[in-house]
Amino acid sequence: MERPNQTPAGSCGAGMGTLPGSCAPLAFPYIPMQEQNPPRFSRAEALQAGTLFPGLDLPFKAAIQAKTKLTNTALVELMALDFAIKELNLYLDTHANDQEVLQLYWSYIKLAKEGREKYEKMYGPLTSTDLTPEDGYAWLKDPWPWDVGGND
Amino acid sequence: MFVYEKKLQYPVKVKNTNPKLAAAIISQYGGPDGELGASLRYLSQRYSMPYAELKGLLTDIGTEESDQSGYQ
Repeated sequence: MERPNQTPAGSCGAGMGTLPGSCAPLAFPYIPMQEQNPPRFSRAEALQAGTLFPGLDLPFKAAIQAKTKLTNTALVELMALDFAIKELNLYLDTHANDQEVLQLYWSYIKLAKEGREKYEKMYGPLTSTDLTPEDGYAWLKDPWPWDVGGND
Repeated sequence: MFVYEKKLQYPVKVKNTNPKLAAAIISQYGGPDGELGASLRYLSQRYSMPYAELKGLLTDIGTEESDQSGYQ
């Protein structure tokens, strides 16, 4: 990797310090703004990595990723979709004008709605207000997510 | 409003019991410097936040953080 230009020592003045390539005010931390429409992982990769964005995939995650192999069930698929939606939600809070990502956000929400219905047909209601006319008040059925087999 | 979904945010497979580790994890969740406190701080800080995008961000991060019950 190319080394960034170093600012010559002593050239920034008393109130300034050095950043790669430039001077900057002392004691002001900063967070760079993520650019518009950044590269993204697939939904399954994102759930595994803990971020939708390769640019935010910090090295300490590598150890965890190497150990975790996610299965490809209806539940994990829905988890991955919901995770990607949450990531896009947070991104859009600060990039509301990114039309491309907004379209993707809405298309994922549509997919999640369908995925949720599919999942509920197979495993039962996800919320206490889901209608389960053939099955009575199925909300109380085991397993709950903390039970053995509750998140397969 | 709090809405509960009967699923986790990320799959968890517990292989064996470990009370010591469980105590550490529950304090990271509900303890003095835990996720639950962080979540509530985001949600109360948004009341004095003047910028629209950051009002939204504090709301949505606070909501996600309270989904540490996403581990329940």
